[in-house]
Amino acid sequence: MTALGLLPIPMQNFVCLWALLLCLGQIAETVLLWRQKRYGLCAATVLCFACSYFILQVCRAGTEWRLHGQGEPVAMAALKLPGGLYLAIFLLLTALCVLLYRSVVAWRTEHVTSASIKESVDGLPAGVCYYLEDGRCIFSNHRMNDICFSLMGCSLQNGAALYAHVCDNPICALPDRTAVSFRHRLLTYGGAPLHELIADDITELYEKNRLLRADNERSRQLSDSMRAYGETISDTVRRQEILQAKANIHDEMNRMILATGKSVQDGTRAERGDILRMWQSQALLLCKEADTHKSSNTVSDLNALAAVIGLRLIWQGVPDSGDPAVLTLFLAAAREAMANAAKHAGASVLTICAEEDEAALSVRFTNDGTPPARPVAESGGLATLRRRLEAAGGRMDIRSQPVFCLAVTIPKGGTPHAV
Amino acid sequence: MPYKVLIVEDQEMPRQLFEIFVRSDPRYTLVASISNAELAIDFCSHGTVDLILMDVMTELGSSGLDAAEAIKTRYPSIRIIIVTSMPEASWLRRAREIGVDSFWYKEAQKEPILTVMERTMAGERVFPDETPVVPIGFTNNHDFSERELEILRELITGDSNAEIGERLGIAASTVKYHVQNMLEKTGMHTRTELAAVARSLGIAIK
Repeated sequence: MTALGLLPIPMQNFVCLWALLLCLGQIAETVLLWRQKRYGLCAATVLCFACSYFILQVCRAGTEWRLHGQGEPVAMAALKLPGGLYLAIFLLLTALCVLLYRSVVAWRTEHVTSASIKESVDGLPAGVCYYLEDGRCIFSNHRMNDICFSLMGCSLQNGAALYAHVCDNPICALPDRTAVSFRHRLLTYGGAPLHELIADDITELYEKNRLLRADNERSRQLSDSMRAYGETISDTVRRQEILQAKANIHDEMNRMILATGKSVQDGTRAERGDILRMWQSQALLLCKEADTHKSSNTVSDLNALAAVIGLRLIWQGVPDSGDPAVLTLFLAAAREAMANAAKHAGASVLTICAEEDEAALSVRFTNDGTPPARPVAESGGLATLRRRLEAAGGRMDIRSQPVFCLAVTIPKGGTPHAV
Repeated sequence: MPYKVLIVEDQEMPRQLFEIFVRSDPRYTLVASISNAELAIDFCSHGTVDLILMDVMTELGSSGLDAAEAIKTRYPSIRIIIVTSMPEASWLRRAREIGVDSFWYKEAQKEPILTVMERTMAGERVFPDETPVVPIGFTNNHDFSERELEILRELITGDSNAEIGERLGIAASTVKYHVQNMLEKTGMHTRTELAAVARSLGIAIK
């Protein structure tokens, strides 16, 4: 085997370059292993580096010997060693260098470092900030910095200031069309308080909430229109029924005109009598329809009830209002007046005097019975009536002498109550 | 001695029709025709009534069923026939519950009112088996379940699913599910349309 010193110059240069590369690689590995706190492997790498450096020095000594014919004794002795030995050492050192490099890489993938934590937290969609009691940030990510800049116009220096800025309104819409929700937590780290401030990305939820609010508003408007419809539907249906009834009368009149024409031409006396009765019936019906007053049903109902009770009602004006709330209270007052007149006063006539303007309906009920000997103590029906009237914004007055008089004022535009 | 009949009906035409029927039969005499159900209680308190023909929706929003319940409680011997043209299912059920004697649909029932009056005065309770069939959209009122009809009644108030669910003791999602079912059955597009049509047809009245 040829000694290292007798190798040709190019070969010796190649060995020198190889040794140099090994030295550089081992320096880098030493640094990485030191940072990974793997000191045992670090020492092994230093040993390998020493071997590589020694070979590099031997090669340098060989070059000096060739140029000047002399060299250091140790190097000269090493030059006489067989080249195969150096080849074996080189292969061993190279293999060790590769294995250590793989070990360094594997360790980095298997272990979490502070740098990897920072890198991963920077990639989060949420903003993260940890700060001390005095507001000094000890850890934050890029997102929280961006959020702070958007909200406060400056980079994140003081976590407490940022929290103070958002604590009253923790949900913030940002200029980049995203939305975040802040949450704060007080932790303890090493015995000292540590504040955690997280800004969760709620852009999707915020957008859906906005759409939901818009939908709710539309729904509320629909509900309002539905309520309004519900309040008027009874009248609408009633008007439809009345219209239908009038259409029926119209049809019946047409039929009767045709029948009359035919009867005039060739009908018998009996048929003409039937037709005449039909005309009378229809005329009566039309008269009643034409006489329809807004409160006519209420008035006729009270007249019918009075007839059963044994009272005669004298109307001095009738309510003209079509407002159900007004008529309901009027009816309640009239029933009370009729009951009192019949039960307590022994009256035979009840006079109802109604006056109405745009604001209210005023009605006085007087009867021809015996007036009460003492002022009337309001209880039962009268007390209930007063409560209902006053709840609707109206008033009630009772006078006992010279005749009993119940006077009520019912404002218009109130809410209907059950009788 | 003819039976004394009180007619409670706020519409002129049907009221006159009932008056003609009552006057045409010597077994009955007409006490009065009134338009407000609440006043019927006053008539009954004077002991002048044997039979009442009672509409459900009467003048000034007074409920014939409420008045019938009050009368049946105070004067159980007075016979009451509920007469209505609305196919609202809950009315038929409630009429049975409060002890009304008979129930008659104005336009849909084949049996004449005089026959129903006669059977009622003979002590019989005459009720139709079911409400009249009323088309609504692609379907009719009989295709709705009890729960759907309940929700339909509440829809008319214009309240939200959550409010309706709270009143009925069910989840808002259940209300939404039933509303969707009814929309699919009827082919209607919105709950408002459904509620409005159902109310105007008398299928659901609150």
